[in-house]
Amino acid sequence: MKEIGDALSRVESFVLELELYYFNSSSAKLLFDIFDAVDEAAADGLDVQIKWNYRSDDDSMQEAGEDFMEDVENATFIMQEI
Amino acid sequence: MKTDELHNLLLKRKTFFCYSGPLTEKILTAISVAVRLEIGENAGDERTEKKVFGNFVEQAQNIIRYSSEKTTQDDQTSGVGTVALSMSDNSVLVEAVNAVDENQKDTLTRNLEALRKMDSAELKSAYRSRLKDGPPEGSKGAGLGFIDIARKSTKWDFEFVEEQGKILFIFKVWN
Repeated sequence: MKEIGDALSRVESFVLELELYYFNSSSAKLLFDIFDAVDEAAADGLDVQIKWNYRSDDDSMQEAGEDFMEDVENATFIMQEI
Repeated sequence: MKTDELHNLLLKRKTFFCYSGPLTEKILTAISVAVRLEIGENAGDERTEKKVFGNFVEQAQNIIRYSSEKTTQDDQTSGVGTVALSMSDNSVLVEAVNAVDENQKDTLTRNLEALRKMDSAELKSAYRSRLKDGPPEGSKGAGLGFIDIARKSTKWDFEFVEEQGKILFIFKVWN
């Protein structure tokens, strides 16, 4: 997580694009921590976009994205049906 | 028990997958491909299939991390237990069994009884706070597994069976 923070301090904008099919609860925590780190960078003025790609028939990944979106306050969180 | 009896027992209880013995992340990854296919054959729709698979992984990881019976496999610490998939009342049932000690029994009972009382909104908020606040003391993962299972199942239940000074934790999840 420190590496992500360091990397974010060296760029002007940042796009995090994800396309997942399944993740377990340990990975949910990791994803949350990553979103938290980039959201914090966005609060400090960095232009951050998170693109959450989910397949049109995949309710569970759509709901998971919506859940994460609720906790992202400063970065732009885009739900993208593919 | 004779070998044919084991075979027939599994058929009779409609168990289509069963693993019993030492479990590691490596073994879990290896059996996951077969498990995923088997669930796909039995779950009916893709939504259920994913939930069952997710619940299977959470339960298997509980055995790996928390079984009080440990062995070493390939330099990885493993937890000994049993995890099975069966058809039950038109649902897919995931069962997990592993040994626990007295302290674990108390903690599990407390945590699971608390989860049992929660409705779906409360489970969602418990999940979010756990994500934010991090795992509780003693957790070897994110501390989200049981909340996740409770959110992604139609029914779940647990019990302890004690014999010869050994406590077995049994956890069942239906989808």
